[in-house]
This record gives sequence, structure tokens and C-alpha cells, in this order.
Amino acid sequence: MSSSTDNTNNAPQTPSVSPSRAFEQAYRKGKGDYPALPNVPASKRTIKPRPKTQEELSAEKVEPYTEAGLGNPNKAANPNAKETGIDFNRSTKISQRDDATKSYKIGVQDIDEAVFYYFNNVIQPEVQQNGGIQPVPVIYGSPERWKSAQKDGYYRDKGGRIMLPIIVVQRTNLEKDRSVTAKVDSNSPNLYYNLSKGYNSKNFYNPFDLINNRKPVQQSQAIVVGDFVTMTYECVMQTYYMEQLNKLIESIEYASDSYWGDPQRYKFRCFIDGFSSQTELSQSTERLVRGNFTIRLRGQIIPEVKQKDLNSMKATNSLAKVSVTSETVADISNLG
Amino acid sequence: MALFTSGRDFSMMRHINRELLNDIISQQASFYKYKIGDTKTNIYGEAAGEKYFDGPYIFSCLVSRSDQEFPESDLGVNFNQAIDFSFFRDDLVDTMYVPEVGDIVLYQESYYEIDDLVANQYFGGKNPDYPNNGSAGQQNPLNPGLSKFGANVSIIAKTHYVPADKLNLSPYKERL
Repeated sequence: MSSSTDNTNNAPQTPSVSPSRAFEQAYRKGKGDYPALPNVPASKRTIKPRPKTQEELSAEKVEPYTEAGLGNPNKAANPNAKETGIDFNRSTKISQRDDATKSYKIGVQDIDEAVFYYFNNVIQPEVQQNGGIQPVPVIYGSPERWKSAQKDGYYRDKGGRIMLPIIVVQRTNLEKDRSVTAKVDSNSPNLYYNLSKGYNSKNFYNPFDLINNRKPVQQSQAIVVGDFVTMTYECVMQTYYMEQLNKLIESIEYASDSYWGDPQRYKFRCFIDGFSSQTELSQSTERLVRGNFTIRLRGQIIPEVKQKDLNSMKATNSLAKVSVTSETVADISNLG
Repeated sequence: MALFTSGRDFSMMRHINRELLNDIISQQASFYKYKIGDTKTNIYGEAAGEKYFDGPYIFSCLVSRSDQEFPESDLGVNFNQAIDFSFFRDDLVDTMYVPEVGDIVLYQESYYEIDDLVANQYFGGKNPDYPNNGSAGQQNPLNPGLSKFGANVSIIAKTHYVPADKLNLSPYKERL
């Protein structure tokens, strides 16, 4: 952009900024655009028109008190940009050092665990057997051989035979659900949740703030909107008797269409559309009473991957508000 | 008239068999028999509530064990074993015990359900229960007195393994 041929004294000059950076600055100046997200390296910042992020849209809604001449606090530019060469406000970059908050993630295993939690703690399938109540174990299908034969002794008899009833759950499919929203683009996520964090040693509630009517800063963790998926679980119930199978079908059917999972963690909506059952009596084998059903779970996945860490926003601070209720001056002529 | 395999001949065989089974081989197994009247069934033909048994009745027998099998499925590693128990029929007759399909055999603290009963071993190929006499009691015109010849020697019970908690017979607490 700047060239030494324009100079009258023909003295060689080194450009203070790179051409792309200069073009970007000129573009912003002309458009009045916001700086790009702070975590995006300068070389990667897009200068093409792009949809505004949720943060930008929210900031636009704020009408600042213009008479003070302070500008929009949400659009705080670096007042020392000229001296430092940093064209964004570094207060928007929040260090996560010593931050014990775990990165928010929902993995496939978390969803599987939600299903098992619901089976074991909410449905608690049980049947009548030998004059008593018998809880029904729920296992994931096809475990390792040693685990199945040696560790899972609680549902085996003395000879090692699997005692019934038992429920076997196995995930068979994971399908992208495009009927609901998404993060839009994994290279530059646009949609975020806000997860408020409690007070801590660096952001504590203190009585002095209360006296001064200062609203405490609320820290939030920005969590990218996950990928919504539909997961399918094939389940097999195997029992000694049809009467037991009926009871299992009743209890599981009742739980259909509700949100499954640990209330302290994640819950996902599960649908069970039908049950099939079969009874077989074959030569030289035990009588087989088996029921099958399919769980259709609507979940979301927020993975713990480097791409997410690089591109997505991590934390935000709310604005601290100080309300001045009254002031006292010694001499009224000093006002103004 | 038949000349061989008379009841007197079989008497010697009986003594030899009993000595062989009881004193030399000395393998044993026990029968449990369902109490049909006490064990209630539902519309699916199953006794899902409680089962009642008579027994155990212990007998000497020949035990023909097949190898233990550990088939694998979605449920994990399972267990199965088929065993054939061969009983001397006269032992069962003396105790008025009639084994039937569905009865349970207890062997080495494990339970086996009878799938098949084979009573097909005749001394001299003759079953004295069928002497082919007339319906009015007339002697067989070709070979009178066949009821005193031959013998039904054995009953072979072909079984498969049954999980212990299904029967609730085991003195051990199978389920924790």
C-alpha cells in the first residue's frame, strides 16, 4: 500500500504495518466494524463481510450515555493502540490461568452414561423371581471376554452361566441432526451458550461493593453450541419368563419420551417407538424369552478438540456497574 | 418258545450291573421332580412365581459328560454343558420313580434339565412288557410266555445345563 516512490526525498522507508494488516485496518475504519474475535490470529482474520456474532448483535443493542463522551463501553477500543500497536482491547482477553473450571464438553460416552444412569437410577428395572424382587442388571453389549467371564460374576451362577433377566444395551448409530441449530462453522463458531460461574478469589462479593451499590462482575464461560445428533441404541431384554418380560416392557415404555440422564450432568430426550418380543423353545437349550426395543436419543456433542480450543471464545466478563447515589461538594462553585 | 434271555438270565445281569454301578463305577446323580399340583402356571405356560419339587432322589448311574462350552454373544461369555445320565431301569422301578422330560437332575452342585429320555436298550432285544398276548389274556400263539424273557435295561436322560437361580433349588445364594 505505502510505497517509497510516493516520497519526494526518495528515502527508503520501511512500512510500519504489513499490507494485509493495513488493508484490514482501512477496511475497518471505513466500515466501522468490530475487531475480529480475540482468539483468532491476525493473519487468519477475515476481512470479508461476515454475519455478526451473538456478542456483536448484543453489543449493538446497548445505547451508551453519549453525553459523557466516553463512547460505547462494549465497543472499547484500545486507547493506547498507537503506542502499543495492539488494535483491540486486551481486557477482552481473559486469562484462564488458575481457572479450575473444566472445559465444557459433552462426548459420546457422556450420552451413553446418561442412558445407563437413567436405567440404573430412575427406571430401576426389576422383576419378581423366586418369591422376591430381583433387580435387573443393565450391561453394555459384547464386553471384553475377561471382564465378562471374571468380573461380571454378580449376574452369573456358580457354573458361570448368565442368570436372567438381563438387559443389554448397545449403541448402533449416530446421525447428524440438521433440523436444529448448530455452531455454523467449526473454523469460526458463531453461536455460544453462556455458562455463569460462581464467585471466586479473584471475583468475590464484598460488603464494600454493597455499600457503593457496585454490581459484581459476573464471569461467564462461553460454550460453543454443540453438534446436535440423533443416537440409536439397540436393546435386548432377556428373561426366564414372559411375565418378567412384560414387567420390563411396562417400566421402560413408561420412561419413553422423557429426558434421560443424571440431573447433575446432562439429560437427553429419549424416544422408544416400539417393542418386539419372541419366545422360543429349541432342542437342548433353555427356553428363550427375549424382547427388543430401540432407543432414539436426541443429544448434542461438544468435543474436547484442539480446533475448538483455538477458534472458540472461552470466557467473558459482564460489565461492572457503579451507581453513584449522592455526592457532596464543599463549594458549589466547584461544580462543573 | 424262547430259550434265552429269560428272567433268570437277566437276574444275573442285574446283579452284575448293580455291582458295577454301585461298587465299581459309583457315579451318582439325583432327580428333582416337579410338583404339578402345587406349581402354578400362567397363560404363557410358565411358572414365573414359585416352583415346587419332590426330591432329590439319588441314583447310581453312568455319567457321560460332553465338554463345557463358553459361547459368546451380546450378553458376553456364557456357559453350557450337556450331560447324558444312564440309569439302570430296575433301580428306578424299585423306587417307583418315573423320570420325565422337564425333570431336573442334580450333578456336582449343578442343575440339568432333561430334554430327551431314551429307553431303548433291551436285553436280548425283547421288552417283556409287550409279550404280544391276546387282548382277552390268550397266550401268544407263536411264542407263549414272552413276558418272562428279555428286559428293558436302561433309561438314558439327555440333559442341558440350567442356571441355578431359575430353579431356586441351590442352597447357595446365587444372586448377590
